[in-house]
Amino acid sequence: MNPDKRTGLNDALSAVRDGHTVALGGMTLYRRPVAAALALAAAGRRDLEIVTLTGGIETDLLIGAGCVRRLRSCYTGLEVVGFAPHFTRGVQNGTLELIEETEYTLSYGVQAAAMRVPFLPMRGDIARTDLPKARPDLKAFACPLTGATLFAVPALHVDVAILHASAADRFGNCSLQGQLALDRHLPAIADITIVTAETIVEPDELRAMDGGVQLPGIFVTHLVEVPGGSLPTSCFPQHPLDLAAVLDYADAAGTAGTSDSDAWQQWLETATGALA
Amino acid sequence: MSDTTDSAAMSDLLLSDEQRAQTDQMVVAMARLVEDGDFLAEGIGTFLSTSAYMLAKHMHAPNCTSLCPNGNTLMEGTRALTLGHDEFDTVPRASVWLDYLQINLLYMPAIFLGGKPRWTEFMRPAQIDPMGATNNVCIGAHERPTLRLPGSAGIPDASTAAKRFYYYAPRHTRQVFVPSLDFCSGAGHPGQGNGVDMTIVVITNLCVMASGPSGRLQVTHLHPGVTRGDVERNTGFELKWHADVAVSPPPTAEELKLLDTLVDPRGLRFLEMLSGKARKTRLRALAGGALPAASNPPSNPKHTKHTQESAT
Repeated sequence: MNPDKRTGLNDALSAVRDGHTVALGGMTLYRRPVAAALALAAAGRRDLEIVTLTGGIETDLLIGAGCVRRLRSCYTGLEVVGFAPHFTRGVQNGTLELIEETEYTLSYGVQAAAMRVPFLPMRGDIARTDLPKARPDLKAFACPLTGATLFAVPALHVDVAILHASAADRFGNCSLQGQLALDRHLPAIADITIVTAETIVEPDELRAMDGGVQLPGIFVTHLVEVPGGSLPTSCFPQHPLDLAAVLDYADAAGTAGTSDSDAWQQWLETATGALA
Repeated sequence: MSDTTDSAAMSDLLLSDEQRAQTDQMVVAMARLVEDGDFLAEGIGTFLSTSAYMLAKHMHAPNCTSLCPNGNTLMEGTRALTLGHDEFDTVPRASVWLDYLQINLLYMPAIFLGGKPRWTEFMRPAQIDPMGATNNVCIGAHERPTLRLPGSAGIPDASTAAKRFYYYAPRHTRQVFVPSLDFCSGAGHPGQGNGVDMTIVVITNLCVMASGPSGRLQVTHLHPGVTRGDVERNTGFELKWHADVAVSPPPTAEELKLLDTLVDPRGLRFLEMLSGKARKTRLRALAGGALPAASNPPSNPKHTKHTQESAT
């Protein structure tokens, strides 16, 4: 095999098929693979299941572009800017299926998949909330050691993981900066891992960076250099969050389904057009 | 940012003087619940609680460690609030830098269930019931809600593990304080005799409530100028009252000065009092402000973040 993982964005994303389960790296408005999400939207992918710790603009735009059938997250929104418009509307009108997650259930699911065990046990106290009612797949069982009630959180395997790295070398070793979210663990639970990198550098330069190599290239299948590929979300230390652009997004996405829905189509066309 | 920019922005908060005073009353009430040495878990965009933590660190609790979610860093010391740019302040100054599996699988269970260090976090729910249970998931039926909310994040996990739980409600209304929740994402007090030791405290713009002997919330403090009638009119269930309701001590001049100069000179905490169009207008004004300086490539040489030395 060719150890050099570099390719183009469209070639890398051609690995994503309709119906795939796709995990997106980063968190809410920080180091999100926005350019990759826009490329999936432009390619017209359908029926995706998106997995993300917290969903932000990258998840919401995929919902708005009609790519998403089901979403797993424990929060989807635009933080200080407010609701994620397409997510909110999609759940309310029943066109988007949401799997209600928590920080723990997602963490347990990822860890179980990485360990190749069918589930990990979660303490039974979660039944003091309505979460188990919304998640019949979390099965209660008696602990074989103590007899206490536990919940089995199923392993969460995904077809494709897509991450935006602060830097990478040509072998797919990655430097991740700022919010790490679940990124270091997603490649181990995915069949295919696509990394967009802010910059591609020599291996010795990468190893000298803060935190060193945080994601080894052994699990990375495709690497694409996409400067600014997280914008308008942050990529520490190169780019701060562009809050004005997120406000523009929220205004445009908020018009979808109204008499002024041209604003959303125009936003999407402009954003995907900028990739070309 | 120049001083003139700041004062111009402060004059356009879109709030009444009463709302501004309520904001700072909530911040100091929260800050005074912080104990020195606490493990302070921040939210993102929860400006009231972050203001309270930083104020407490400046005042009586300098030895607290902050868990900053924007970067998942442990950080000593204080910093000024930012509008979505905390990574640029926290990552370079962090003692430890973690990811979410480490936080959720290796750190929080020990802190919630082991009780050391003492964990303090203030969360903002959309609905609260008489037992202090909360909802951040949806209004209406879960399968087909009339309003879908962003989601519960870690509240189901934390509220079923911690013995002491703090909430804040910047707008004390009947929409927030409801007789029964549309979805329970934050566990309430289980009631007397259930073998679960738990205290829930809620700070609002009108008062402070805490779990009483039966587990139901009871009012312990009224903020200055607020009457029992004000609280009862704005609560959707019958409230319990502590036998000896106190008046919340107002902010001191020193606390207000710290908030306006070192903790939150841009007045971001007042955003939490705004909703809808007013909030967007205010955000637009703030988004025009200065961004942190970008650098390229990622910080180099290795581990500069551990030295606390500024490269600039």
